[in-house]
Amino acid sequence: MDGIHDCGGMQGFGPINRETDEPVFHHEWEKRVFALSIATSFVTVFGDDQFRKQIERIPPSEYINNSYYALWLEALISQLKDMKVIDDNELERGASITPLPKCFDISKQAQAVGLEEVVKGGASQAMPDSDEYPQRFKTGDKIRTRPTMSYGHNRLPRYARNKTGTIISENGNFVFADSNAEQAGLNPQMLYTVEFKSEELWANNAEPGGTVCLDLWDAYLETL
Amino acid sequence: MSHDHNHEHDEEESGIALRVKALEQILIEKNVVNAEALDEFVDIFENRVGPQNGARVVARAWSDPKFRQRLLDNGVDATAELGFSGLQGEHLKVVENTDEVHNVVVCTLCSCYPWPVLGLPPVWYKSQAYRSRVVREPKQVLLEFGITLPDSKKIRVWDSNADLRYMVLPQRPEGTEHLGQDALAELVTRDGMIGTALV
Repeated sequence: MDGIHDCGGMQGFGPINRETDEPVFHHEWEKRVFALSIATSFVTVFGDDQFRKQIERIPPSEYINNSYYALWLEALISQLKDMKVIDDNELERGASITPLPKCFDISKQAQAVGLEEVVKGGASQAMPDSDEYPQRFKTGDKIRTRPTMSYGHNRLPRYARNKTGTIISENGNFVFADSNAEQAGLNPQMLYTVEFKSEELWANNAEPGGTVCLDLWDAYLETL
Repeated sequence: MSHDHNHEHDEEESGIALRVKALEQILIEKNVVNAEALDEFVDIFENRVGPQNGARVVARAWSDPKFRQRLLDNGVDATAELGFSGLQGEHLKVVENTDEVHNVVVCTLCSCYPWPVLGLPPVWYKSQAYRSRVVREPKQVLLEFGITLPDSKKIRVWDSNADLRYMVLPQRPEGTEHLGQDALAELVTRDGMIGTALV
């Protein structure tokens, strides 16, 4: 969606403030939010795509004014409410009242023993080649990105829509974030890296000679 | 920020802390999570994973041309040789700074970052100021980070908006020919591997 999260190229956010000797977490509660978010993804369908969609649903004023892990917390709670895992009554009491829905498989619960190896295994969304979405482009092709997107989740930033660029690599088939976030299927398809000239993206405002590279699914691209 | 605002902020945060405690308690009671695993997640990402990992990768690439080539060809397999892999690094691509090109990494849509080699990202990397500006005016942003590049050098920005994660291989500083990998790793900074510092 055309949300406040899609901020590439927006103006007016001011200087980039950096903290010296920044800790990994600033508060104890941030550590718990981080761990709760990842651990929850072990037992149900709650991957990056669903999580990002929940963050994008946070109203713009809240998105801007809340810290990073505060946004994670609200996204996690929204997802758990949508899945009927928790309700406001339980949150107020800090106790479980309702049973866990069947879409949770607690046999997959993250365990401390061996967890580092599990984390090192990752959670790739790469998929095998498929006839369903045959690859339409190849490295070296010039393409134009689609001009508009839906209200739902997508990963084609506003600043790179309806722009021409050159495919510089084919990275294999991946789960399509747009449909996966909406629980509308994996729709695996080729993910390309596309390079755009800064002049194409920023017109007369561009710093000359630079480029921006983006990783774009086949469905985002049109033949030039 | 005024003192009044600070006070308000603190109260808000204690409110958040209570809300997080309530959520954790509910999820433990429902068997979704257990406290020991949560502690372990935190310990892994607070103490075991971080830019010290990426620094070892860079030092090795500077010292070993064959490894450098493997790293540029396949970032996942090469970093796994040093024991680094996993969440948010499943499809790692390492991009090399040269005399012609300077690379810089961002995630304009959220906060994508190569966890196995750099750990969790700093607040500025996740800020709207960095995300909005570095794709549009990278040269100006780098200048504010203290990097002045010659006009002839091309800046290539990698907006990691999908499944790939990016790490920059900085150029080896001159006068370091005598240094071993441990000493070289000491020179490498987190920002150097994001592309907002030269080393």
